[in-house]
Amino acid sequence: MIDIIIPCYNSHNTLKNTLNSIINQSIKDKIKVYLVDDCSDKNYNLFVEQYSKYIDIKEIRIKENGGAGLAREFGIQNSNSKYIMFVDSDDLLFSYQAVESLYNEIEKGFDYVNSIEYDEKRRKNLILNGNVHGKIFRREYLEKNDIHFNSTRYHEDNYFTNFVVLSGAKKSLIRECTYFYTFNKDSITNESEEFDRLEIYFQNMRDLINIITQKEYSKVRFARYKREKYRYLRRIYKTFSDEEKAIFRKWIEEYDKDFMQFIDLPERAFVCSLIDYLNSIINS
Amino acid sequence: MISIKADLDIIIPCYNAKETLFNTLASISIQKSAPKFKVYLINDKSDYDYQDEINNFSDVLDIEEIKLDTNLGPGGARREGINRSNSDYMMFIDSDDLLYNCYSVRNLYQAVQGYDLCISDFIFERDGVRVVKQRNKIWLHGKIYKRSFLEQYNINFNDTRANEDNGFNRLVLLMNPKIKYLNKITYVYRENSNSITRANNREYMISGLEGFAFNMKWAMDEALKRGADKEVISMLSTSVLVSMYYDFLYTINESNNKDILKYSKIIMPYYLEYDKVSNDFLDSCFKYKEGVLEEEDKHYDKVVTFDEFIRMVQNYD
Repeated sequence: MIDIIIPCYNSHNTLKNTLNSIINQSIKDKIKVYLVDDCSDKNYNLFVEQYSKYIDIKEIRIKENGGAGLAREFGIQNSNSKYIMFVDSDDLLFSYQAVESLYNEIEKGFDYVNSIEYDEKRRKNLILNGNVHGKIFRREYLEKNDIHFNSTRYHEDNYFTNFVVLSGAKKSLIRECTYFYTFNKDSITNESEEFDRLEIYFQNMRDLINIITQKEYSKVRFARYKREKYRYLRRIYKTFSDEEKAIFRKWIEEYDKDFMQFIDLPERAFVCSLIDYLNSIINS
Repeated sequence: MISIKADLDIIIPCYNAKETLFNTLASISIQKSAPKFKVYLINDKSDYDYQDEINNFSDVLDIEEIKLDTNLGPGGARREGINRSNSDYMMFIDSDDLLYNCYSVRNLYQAVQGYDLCISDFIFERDGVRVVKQRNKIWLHGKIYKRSFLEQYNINFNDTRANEDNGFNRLVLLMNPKIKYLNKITYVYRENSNSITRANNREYMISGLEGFAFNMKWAMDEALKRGADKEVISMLSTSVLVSMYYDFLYTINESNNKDILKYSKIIMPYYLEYDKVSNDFLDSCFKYKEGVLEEEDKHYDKVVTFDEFIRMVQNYD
């Protein structure tokens, strides 16, 4: 009924807690767990052996390491339930009813349901559209609209969820915390890495623009949606060096050109260009 | 081995609990931002030990098994747990229940600061029907206790095997603790009506009532010994009588005269004690009774009134 897909890359230390939070779900009989082994050094046989007493759990292996996005895609291809959820191998489902609440909502006929997640790093409850945490997807919808993860190693979750939303999925939001996003000090990304990842971010956004153009999805939706992205950029911009800021501005200008061309003329009046927005942050 | 004192003890009475204990410990192991706590598995002379479970969770939990030589039942096991642990606060979890979310312990611990007892909401599930119990003063679920309060009045569990948790909570309540109510779910209690002890039948109701009446009387006696305020005792005891009355209404449909006689016999000792204590405070008891009955009356079609019920108990012989 619900496939929970967990991409695992050398996650042996943290996976235990993740599974501990899943085996106590109120509707665990409806859940199938897929551990997607993304070519870890060791397999997950012990986990499967131990936890299969408590929940339906399976390990599937990819031949070549491809990052979390491809691992999730592989999970989708090799599972078959009506609904799909993603959990990362160091995070937790927040409560006893987490899956049940999402399930009850999507059963009303939605294609995609979002909920609140707790971000341990920022110590806040957040509603985010830019990742795959605390969300449930209808498989049929993903298939019908040909929605897949791409092969980028960062921001691939952002691309996927944006794709779902922009394709016009019937979506809903429940005001309940279902996901605990762990702040893992070992995997902390340093700032220069964050900067390198931005290039991928813009590449993904451009891909989305192409897809929207090709498939003739609503552009207005994208224009409005874009506001949300600004917040992310604003947060990381402050951490850049001067040199990085200059490169960053160049990327944005290029992106803006694509974006403004893409948006139809009457809509442009309502959309602030990214570079203008950035300037306004700097000056404020 | 040097052991650093924890902030909180979690006491789990375990009797042949291997089937369910893993899930319980799993729900404890994912607690976030919690104070430093220690888990005590009180092995109530099970057929086996819990070394496997301890090995399994020792990397994420501070956990210790205490083996008892005789089977004491959950009450006795919890008493041993209280006596052999030492943190400032304690909570009790049953070996087939769960904590509700990653913040159950944190929420309870934060809420109880400055209080003797924190009562939170918990989920009660029977055969797939789910109710959220709020402000429940009867069960141990979803509560956290301050050790110094229990020590001050020397409160602990007795040896009865049914409703001993009820007696304990009642005694705590009669000693007038500072209570904090927390409007958040922290605990999940589940039962199957097909389990033998919980079979939902008349015999069970009546034997359950026996334990209930005994423990209520026990709590009243103990509270009197400890010098609790008599007015508090008599008022709260009125509410117990009211709840016995509702139990009676609940079973009466299926009962015959013999059962009713049995019923009166069970309640009699409690009633006599109550009568003694509450004599000076009849007015306040009366007011309290009116309040309780008025609120609850909406839910029942009464065939016997409360006063008739009391007369019935009085006339038992």
